[in-house]
Amino acid sequence: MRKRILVCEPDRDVRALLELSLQKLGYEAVGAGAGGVDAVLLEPGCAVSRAQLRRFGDVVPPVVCLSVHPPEEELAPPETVAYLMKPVRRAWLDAALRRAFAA
Amino acid sequence: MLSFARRRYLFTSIAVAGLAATWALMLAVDWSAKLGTVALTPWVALLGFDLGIVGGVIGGLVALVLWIIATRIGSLAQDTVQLIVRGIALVALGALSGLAGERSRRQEGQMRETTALQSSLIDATLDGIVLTDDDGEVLISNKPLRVLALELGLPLTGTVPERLIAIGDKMTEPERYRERMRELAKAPGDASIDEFEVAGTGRVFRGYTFPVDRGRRIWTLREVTADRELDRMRDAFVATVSHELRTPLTSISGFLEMMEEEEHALGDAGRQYLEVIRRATDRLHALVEDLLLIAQIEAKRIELDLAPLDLADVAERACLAARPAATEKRIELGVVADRPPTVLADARRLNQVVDNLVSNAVKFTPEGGSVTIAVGREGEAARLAVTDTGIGVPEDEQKQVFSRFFRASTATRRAIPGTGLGLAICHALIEQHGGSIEFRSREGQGTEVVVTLPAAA
Repeated sequence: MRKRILVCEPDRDVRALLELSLQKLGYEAVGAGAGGVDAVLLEPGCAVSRAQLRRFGDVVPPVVCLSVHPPEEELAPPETVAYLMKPVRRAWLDAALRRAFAA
Repeated sequence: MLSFARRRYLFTSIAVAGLAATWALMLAVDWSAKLGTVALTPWVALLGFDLGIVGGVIGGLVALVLWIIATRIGSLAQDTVQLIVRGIALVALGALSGLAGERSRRQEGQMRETTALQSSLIDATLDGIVLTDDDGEVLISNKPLRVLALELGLPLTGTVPERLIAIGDKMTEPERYRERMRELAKAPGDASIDEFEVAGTGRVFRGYTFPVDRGRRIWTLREVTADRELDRMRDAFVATVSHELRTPLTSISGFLEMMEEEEHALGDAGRQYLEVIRRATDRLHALVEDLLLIAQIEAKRIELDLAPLDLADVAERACLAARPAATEKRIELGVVADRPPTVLADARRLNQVVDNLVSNAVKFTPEGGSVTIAVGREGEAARLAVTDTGIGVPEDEQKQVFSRFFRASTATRRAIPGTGLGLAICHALIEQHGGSIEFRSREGQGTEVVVTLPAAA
């Protein structure tokens, strides 16, 4: 079964890009409101609280941050397994998600 | 020193008192007229000297009258001619000393005028200025300094370094501040520029001190709060723009990647367009990364991952990377290695620096020129020099080449693209490595950039 990945991205075009990229990498992209996700792609500027992340289960899924800010200027959630700065190549996204599932 | 008016009053009183006393004495002891003339002379001179020419004449006449009276009532009879000659001599003496007084007063007036002009000159600046002697005691200060001293709460006594150290607690970094001030106090022969911020007020000051003659020292204090605020605004603006560029750049770059995968569906023209878009996108991306990098270096947020590194390898790598661009312009590109010592450096950052220097050299060298990367040693240190036969940078612009966003007129005139960030980044990175970077160039002949790095122990 395809892994379900929640995309938290405020920019419509970037969201569309990420959804398409995830699809090409063999994942299923889901939007906010979907239950039971395996990982989260998060723009840390897009304020998603821990409570919101918890809605997807007792354990908060691994988070891959995709940010326009360098990590020292951003408050990434503790579940972050990879922090990428935009713009990202699909190969980087692929590597980061693999790491998320390997962890 | 007594003020001019007070001195004049004092001198006049002494002269008048002297004249009266001498005369009284002459009467009392029945002095001879000859002796009387001699005794009266200094008082006349003093009166004349200090009151000017009119005072001199009056002084002479007064002395003459006193002397005539003294002679008339004196025991010795006087010959009339002698009396007239002596009288004229006394008046002439008075007039002469009056003339001398007039002159000295004019000189004094001029001096006072000059002093007043000079003090209004040193007061007519926003900088606080103070001159100290070889013990650091204040010799003279200007008005803005006194105003700043009041605002900063500087003590009114003690040597200048002592007074400065006393307000250390008010600074944002009191320890560093006090340490700096102690260093300054210990090295009176050094010139230095320091900036410090007063905690809680946001006010930033720049102190500049330099030695003058005989152990004396000038200290100047300038408020640079507005300049620092402008810097902050510029940095914030640049940061915001470069961050905001990342979102659209993500879409452009990502969908471009998708299109490149569908390239086969495009014709030749379409593929060419894609290539152009890719190049432009990469350039934008590089710009955004450079802006972030320089902001991080300046905020000292970059940590170096140091490891022993062979400088010849670094040079070869950069050479390889620049090869395609060099071949395209028929530029001779090569490495000359002369036993360079191993250096302790961050491989990624050092490669970035050397790549940048070599790609610059290729970029600014016309077709058919040459670019050489020489690695070797300079004393104990490792040396890497990138030399080209390019367009060069005019001499008067050379000291700016390491400033952010600076672009040489030789480059802008030829519309050679660039952001003016490369050398600023190189400079910052090399400094962080504890090395130095030098820029030598002759317009129209070429440029040499020399990097020296401490050798690994």
